[in-house]
Amino acid sequence: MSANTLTGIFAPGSPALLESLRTLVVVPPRIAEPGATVRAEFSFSNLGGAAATGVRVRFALPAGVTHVPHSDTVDDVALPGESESFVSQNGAPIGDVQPNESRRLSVSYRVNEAIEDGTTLPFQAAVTSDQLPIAASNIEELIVRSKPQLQGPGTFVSLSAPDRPKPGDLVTVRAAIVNSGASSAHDVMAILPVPEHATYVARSARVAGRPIPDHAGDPFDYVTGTIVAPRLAPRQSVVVEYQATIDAPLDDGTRMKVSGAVSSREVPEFALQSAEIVVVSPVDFSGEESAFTVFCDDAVTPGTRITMVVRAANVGSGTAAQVSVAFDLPDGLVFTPGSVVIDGQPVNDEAFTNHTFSIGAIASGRIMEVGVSAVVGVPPQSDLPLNVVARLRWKGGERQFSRRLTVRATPRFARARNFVEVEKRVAQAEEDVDFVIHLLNDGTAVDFGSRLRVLPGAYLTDLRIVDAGGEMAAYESPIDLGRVDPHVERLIRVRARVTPPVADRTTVGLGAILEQGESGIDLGVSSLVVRSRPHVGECSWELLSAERLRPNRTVDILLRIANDGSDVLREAHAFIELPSELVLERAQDARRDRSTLHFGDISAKTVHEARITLRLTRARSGEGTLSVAATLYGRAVTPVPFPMLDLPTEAHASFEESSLLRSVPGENVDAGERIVYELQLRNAGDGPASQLTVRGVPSNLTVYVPGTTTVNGLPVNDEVGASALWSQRGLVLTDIDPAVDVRVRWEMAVVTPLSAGTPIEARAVLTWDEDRSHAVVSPTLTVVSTPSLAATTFGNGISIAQTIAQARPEPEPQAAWETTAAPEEAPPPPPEAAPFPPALVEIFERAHAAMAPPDSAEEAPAGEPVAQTEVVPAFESAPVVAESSVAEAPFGYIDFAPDRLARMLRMLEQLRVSGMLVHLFAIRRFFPETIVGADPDLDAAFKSENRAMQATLDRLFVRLRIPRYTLTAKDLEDRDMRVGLRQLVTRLLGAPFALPMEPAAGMLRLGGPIDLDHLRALSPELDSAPLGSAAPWSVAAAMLGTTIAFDGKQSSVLERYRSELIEAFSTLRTLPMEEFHRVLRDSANRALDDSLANVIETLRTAAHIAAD
Amino acid sequence: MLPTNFDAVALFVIGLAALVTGILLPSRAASWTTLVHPSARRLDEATRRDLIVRLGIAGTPWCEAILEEAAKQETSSSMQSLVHRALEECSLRNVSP
Repeated sequence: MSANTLTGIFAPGSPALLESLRTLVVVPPRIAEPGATVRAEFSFSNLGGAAATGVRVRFALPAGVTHVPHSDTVDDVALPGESESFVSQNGAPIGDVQPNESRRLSVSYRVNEAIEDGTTLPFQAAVTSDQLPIAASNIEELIVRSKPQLQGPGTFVSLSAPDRPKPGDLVTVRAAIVNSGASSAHDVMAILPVPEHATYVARSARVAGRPIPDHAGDPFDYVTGTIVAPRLAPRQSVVVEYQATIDAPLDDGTRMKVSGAVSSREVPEFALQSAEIVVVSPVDFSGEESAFTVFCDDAVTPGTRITMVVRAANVGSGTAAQVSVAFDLPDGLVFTPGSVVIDGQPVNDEAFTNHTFSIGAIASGRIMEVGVSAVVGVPPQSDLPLNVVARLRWKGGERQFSRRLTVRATPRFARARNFVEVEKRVAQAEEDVDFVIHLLNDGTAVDFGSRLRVLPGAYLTDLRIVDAGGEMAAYESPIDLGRVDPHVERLIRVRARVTPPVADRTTVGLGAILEQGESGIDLGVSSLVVRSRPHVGECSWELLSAERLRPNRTVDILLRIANDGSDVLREAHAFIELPSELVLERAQDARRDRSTLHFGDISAKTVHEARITLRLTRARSGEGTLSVAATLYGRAVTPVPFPMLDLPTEAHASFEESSLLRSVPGENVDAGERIVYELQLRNAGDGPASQLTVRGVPSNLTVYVPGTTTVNGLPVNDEVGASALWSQRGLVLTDIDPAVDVRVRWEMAVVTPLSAGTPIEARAVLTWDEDRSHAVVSPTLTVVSTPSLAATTFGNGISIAQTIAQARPEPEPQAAWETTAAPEEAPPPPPEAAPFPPALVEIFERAHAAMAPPDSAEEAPAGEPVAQTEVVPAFESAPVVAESSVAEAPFGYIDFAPDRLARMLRMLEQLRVSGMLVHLFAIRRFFPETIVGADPDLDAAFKSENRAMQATLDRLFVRLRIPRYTLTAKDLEDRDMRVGLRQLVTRLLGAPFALPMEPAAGMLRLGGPIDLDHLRALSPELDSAPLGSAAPWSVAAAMLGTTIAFDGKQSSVLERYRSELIEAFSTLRTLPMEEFHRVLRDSANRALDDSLANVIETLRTAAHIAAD
Repeated sequence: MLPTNFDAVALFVIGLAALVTGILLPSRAASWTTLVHPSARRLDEATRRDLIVRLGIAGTPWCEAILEEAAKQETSSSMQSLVHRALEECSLRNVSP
């Protein structure tokens, strides 16, 4: 670069020029403002002597200013040339300067509008010429003073929202900040808090479109102080924005705006405000939640209390103000004071004036309920409509609700005031009874068309009815009541007759029903008690056969009992007084119990007929008459006697058919030998022989052996050394019952010598009933040399006239012991006084006497020892012959040693059971162990049955001690017991008949003939009756003994007990199983218990004797 | 130390045995009655005494078997003697019926 060229000076980085001329002046001095005009003036002089040519001047153009065009002047003259300027790179030529000539140059600058504060503007001028190097002026520096400008129209805040903003809508808050100043603004801060009623939307803040972290929530709140621009240059702007939601609920018309502020380091805070938006927030009661509820059916009845509730639910977003509820109650619906409730709480009626209640405000989402009650009044007509209206009002709106009701008025017949009443509480049968039916319509309307139906109960007939003021007429069908006004009582009288038969104290009633169309009202029943009683109008009997009754034959008698009373004749029974010859064998349509016939209950106005069968057991010989009497008893009647009934009888004895004379030996006899004759007589007729005379026909081939005549084993005294058979009077026997066997035995000695082959026969003539006789011939004996045998027999109950005493009466059951012909107490009586008992007991007595020690025989009268010595050994040594000739049934027995007897008694005493159970144990303990003459099979059958019975009953004996033990069929019988009993009965029916031997010394025996007829009749039941029934016990009872024999004494108390048992079980057999068990457990039979007590007492006495 | 531990163990065993005896034996003592009948449970002493007497009186093999079981289960001396008397009664009877 040349030294006088101006190009290259004032360039950035070039070295500063030496200030050689200090003529540069700048106006204004030192300070300049943006946009201001700065005038620089430079002057110099050619102090030399030569003209300076090619002078060029250049002014510096600092950054921050601009040259003002055409402002260059030379000596106040504008620089020529359009394009010349002192600020050009090469300056501008000003021509030549002559010596001592001066020049003054000026140029104008303008400071930039945007220039940072403090900027230094250095001004300098330089001049050069062709001859001179560059001479620089002084440097004048100006300091620029400028500042930023944020507040202005470009800086604003806005709130953007939908057209009709409402709660919940999204709004945008946006602020634009513009620096309209000359310098930059530093640390520009925007404060834009979230407007009221709005909530900042998280992470929605943006600065210049970029999100900013906002962990602390609203980033533009006062406390946040977020700097949105560290430096905002002039003419620059920044946009800040975030989003928020409008709060809900919110009042309608709420205004929202944004108030904020902007500041920077250079610019103090100034406020900004946005325009307001108006939030639309309506009240809404139109939803289903708001309702009017009337708690009743559409049809209501007068008097009904109706509760009405208006439910106001503000489902809008705004708060409803001035809310009120008004009820329009129609006529006929009367408000109930004190019934107003708000949300369930009662409210003073003063707050409900004009049926309107002011609620006040209801915020959004709140619900309120207003309820009142009203009563339906009595309408003038039925089916009256009621329009109930409720109005819900609030500021700016109203909603109306309505409900239509219909009032139904009906007649009513309340049960309390509509009933049937009887005039008297007790009436007799066949009496008229009056009932009064009370009718009262206590409803709200007149009743038409109701009908009254009368319902007579049992025993009420002949109904008659009368309405008020009318005449009584027969009631046949429901009567029409016509018009029934409300609250006017009507009385209707009904008369009825109590018709028998009717039980005493029967309650009879009459009911009524008020029929209304298809429905009916029960008026109830009124009852009364009827007194009624039976009455026996006829009590008779009739003999159904005109023939005379023969022994062992039966006759049927028809009994007729008429109950013409009005009640049932209960427990009707007749006690029949039968003569001893008659036995009540069976009854039809009546149950017999000994001598009593039970007819059960006989209905009123009926005749009960029963048929009984009487059997004539024995009768006097010839024709006779037996009288039968009876008396009828029953509940509620006095005893009524039957007329006496005469029963003609007829009986005859007969000995022709079964009389036999036989001898021992039977075919041959040796001379001098004895022949034993036995005349076997049997009364084959049906009547007793009052007297039978037996006469023997003497023979010259035989001689009577004195003292050998016996009748049924009893010796008969000879008369003057000869048998009574050959006396003039004969052997007279009296009172020989039918079927009674008589064996007359005597011995004859064959005269000797007698030639062999001589026939010997014997004859006897029988005479009875004065006019009847029969001769009996023995088989013919042939005389040979053979021995003869003697035999003796026992007979049945007969007596020998004048020689044999009357049969001893049967001992009383209560008498424990009666002494028989014990050797030391009663020696064998003489034949005239010898007892001849009719029963087997007495035979046993005789056997006992016959088995007495020989010393008793020695005490017998003289002339009798042969007979005595023959009888006793015959019984002992030939029991089969003796038994087969006299026993009528198998003789069963059980023997007790003292300790066994004591144990049995202890067990019976330990029982302590109620009812009839004790008798089962008694049967088991008294049950025979065998029979006389039993074969091994029968013996085993007895043992088996005893074992089975013992196993069953001993278990029961123990179990009965268990508290509240329930009796079952298994406790009474098991299969072994049944099988054993069946086998035993089968064998017994074919068992031999034999008389017993006396029990061993110290042993007690229960024994007697087994009732085979009973067994035979009952044995089929053993196959059919279920286990645990009464049948086996009835069978077992028939096997019990009849006598108790001990120590030469005997008692027949057991026989009575057995009879009672058989009779009791014959009744129990007819009962169903359960009933049988119940009777066993709960019922007592006094007679049976007494009989058992007698037996036990007798056994106990024997036990004491044994112990002693 | 060893004797002390042994005593504690012994005491525990004795206590446990007494507890077991106290808990189990009373229930076992009445169980023989169910042999008489399944419904006969938890009978009091008076009833059990009567049952024993009755079993002795009846004296069948069935009774004898139950009495033998009762002899095992009854613990009191009076009941034991009663059972033995009943058993003697049974045996006497079986010897001399």
